[in-house]
Amino acid sequence: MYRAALAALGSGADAEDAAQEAFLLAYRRLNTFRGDASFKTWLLTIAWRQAINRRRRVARLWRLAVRSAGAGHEERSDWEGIPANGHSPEDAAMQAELYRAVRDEIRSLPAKLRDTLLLSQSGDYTYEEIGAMLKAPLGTVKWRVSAARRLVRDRLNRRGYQLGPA
Amino acid sequence: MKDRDPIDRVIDDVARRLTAGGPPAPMRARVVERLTTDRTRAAAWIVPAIAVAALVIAIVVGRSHRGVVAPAIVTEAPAVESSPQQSASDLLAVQERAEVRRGAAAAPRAAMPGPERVAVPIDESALGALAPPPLNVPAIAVDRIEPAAPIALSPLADVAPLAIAPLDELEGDRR
Repeated sequence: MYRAALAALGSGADAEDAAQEAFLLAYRRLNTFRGDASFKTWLLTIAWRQAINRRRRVARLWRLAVRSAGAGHEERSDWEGIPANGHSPEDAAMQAELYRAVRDEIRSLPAKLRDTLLLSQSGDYTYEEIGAMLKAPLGTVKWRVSAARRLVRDRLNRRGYQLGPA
Repeated sequence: MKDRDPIDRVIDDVARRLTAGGPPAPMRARVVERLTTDRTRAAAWIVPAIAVAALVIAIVVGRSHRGVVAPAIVTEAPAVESSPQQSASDLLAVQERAEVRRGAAAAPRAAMPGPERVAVPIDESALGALAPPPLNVPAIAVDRIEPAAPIALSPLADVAPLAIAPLDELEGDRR
């Protein structure tokens, strides 16, 4: 639940609040669980809804501005710690720059594509569970993941990042 | 998946990092605490809710009882000395004034007791004197209608068949 909220909100504190709210809500509505889906899916659906509601609440311009202005330096150190697999310091710096560019492009994706990509890569949820959370069919979930990757790739190419095949 | 575009691997890796990290350690304790608080708060709401509901019911029941006990005729007229000897015209005038005032005031207010309201007793004998005399209308006698003689219809005479002569050519052309 926490990780699903984190995928939606991008902030650990907000994700924790949303997860707590989801637990409370699930506890109150425990009698509405009919067993149509698994209990985990039911919980995840509630958590996702809570996270999306919270995201709508906090998506105010001034908060976004403060966050993007204040979080830059803090996150920079994380992204510079990306292992460069034995390449030169220049390569390591370039790779860190690439990771930052990819992160920015993922964050700027349309919400539906971004959410699906992040949930699928969190490693905690199956495509079926993601589909239940997003209320989307399995094929749509897979298509969104693929489309999100393609969009990020195209944008990176436009920005001059070219990676050859492995 | 070894043939995947390296950029796709980077994208997936970045997406994984964006959702990496588990919930903070005290989160479970906080959830349990909030669950307990929530239960207590829910229980605390029940008592005032029941009290308010009981109060509302008591008010409604009290009002309905008062409505049944209230006098049938209540006016807002100033205190009027009334006695059995009062003339019928005086009584009528008082009642008319009371009706005008009652019409001006709101209906619920008229039912509520107030300092200016005085119940005017009605003298049944005076009301009897005001009643109009009974109408004496003689019964109307209607003669019985005799059945009429049956109407005899004479059969219609046979109509002679019409003989139609064919038109000559000139007449046909003219048409």
